[in-house]
This record gives sequence, structure tokens and C-alpha cells, in this order.
Amino acid sequence: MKLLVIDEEGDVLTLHADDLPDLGVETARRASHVEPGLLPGSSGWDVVLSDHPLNGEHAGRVIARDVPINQRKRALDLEVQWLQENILGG
Amino acid sequence: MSHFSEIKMQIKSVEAAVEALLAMGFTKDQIEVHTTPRQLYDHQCRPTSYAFKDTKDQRFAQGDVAHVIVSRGAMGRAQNDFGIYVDPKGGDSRIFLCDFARSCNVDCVNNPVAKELGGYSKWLSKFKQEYSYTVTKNHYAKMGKKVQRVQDGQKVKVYVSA
Repeated sequence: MKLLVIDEEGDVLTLHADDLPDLGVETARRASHVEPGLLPGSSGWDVVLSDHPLNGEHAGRVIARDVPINQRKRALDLEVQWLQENILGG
Repeated sequence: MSHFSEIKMQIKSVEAAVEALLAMGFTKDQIEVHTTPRQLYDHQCRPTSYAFKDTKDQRFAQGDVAHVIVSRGAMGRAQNDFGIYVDPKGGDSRIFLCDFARSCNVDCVNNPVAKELGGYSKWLSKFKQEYSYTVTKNHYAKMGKKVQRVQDGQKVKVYVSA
């Protein structure tokens, strides 16, 4: 489930997708990294938050580590779920 | 590898603006839509030119003009016209709501939603939210997706089915 948050000025915060509505001027910046072997001792997919200001005190936080290499979609789902629940406030 | 998208709202759709105005308490007969933007007038029927005076925006060098207009009479006592200019080239839109409307007592307000909110200042914020929600809802509906709206304090959360 996708989440879009509309503030009092009508401005929108969400996770980027190519099918977003044409609401205005969009600025997209990296929220997190999903890479194999990003963390020491890991050979699977690691999910780590970026230093985007919206991540605040969570910058650099590990969301998931060593997700089996044949389960990239699971790693991506974990990433989106965490961001939506904890940063977007879903 | 997700990216945050921060979208600065611009009014690009006249249809969605009208739909949002209807949701925010105006009636169909109170909303004018003009293919060519029309001059706005103040409460004394004088053409206004605030945009050019304030910003030197050349689009308004001949006066304040808008594609969507709610007349001063529908707005309330001693009000100017309310207007929305939608840039045909996709540039910045502009909403015209006079200073008096933003600060006046609710006795000078005709719109029932604005009355309930305590005036046109809060109404304007809600209108902008409503516009963004309307565009979002219509966009995903066309794609066959379900949209759920949840009010969370001052924010509107929109959940879209996968």
C-alpha cells in the first residue's frame, strides 16, 4: 500500500514512484540504500537509511541485514514498510 | 533504494480546482471557469493588480487575472474576487485571496465551510489540501486503484491500494 501525506499547504511527501500524480514540482532524494554485502559480514541484502534530513536521528540505521540474496523484493518491501510507518507516519 | 519525494503543490488542473472548490463549500453556479484568464475586481468593482505590484510578475502586468473565479459577492461582504491562475505552460500557479478575506470576521464570510473554520485563512489551507487530494484520488481512480483518506491532525494521509 502506497502512502502520500498532504500538509496544510497542499504539499506532498511520499516515496518516489513513476506513477505519482502530477501535483507540482517534485524533488526526489535518496531515503535509503538496499545493497548486497553493505554491512561487514553480510552477503545478502542490507537495508540502511541514508542521511536525508527527514531520517533525522535514524540516519544510518540498519533496517534489515543479510536478507538472502534471492529475496531482494523482501528487502525492498521491508524498506518501504519501515519508511512509511516511521518517517511518513503511516 | 527508495527516494523521498517532496512535491511543492502547483495548481495545474482547472477541473480538480473546481472539484475542490465544490468540496469546500461553493456551489457550481458560484464558480466561473474561463479559458482565457479574466480580470479580477475588488469590492468596489475596481480591477486589481496586486500580483504585479508585489512580484513584478509579467504574467500579471495588465492586472490580476484568473481562470477560475469566485465572485466577490459569493465570497462575502466587502470581499474581492477569489481567483486561481493556472499557467498554461506549466509554470507557477497563483491563488488570489485578498488580505481582507484572510483576516476578516466570519460575519463577512458567505462560504459555509469557511464560516465553520473561522474564516478564509484556514479555508485556504484546507482548499489546497483538498486540491492535492482531489488530483491524487482522480489519478489513482483512473488506474483502477482504491484510495483511502485519513485525517491525521492537520495532515491528510492518502493510502493507495497496490
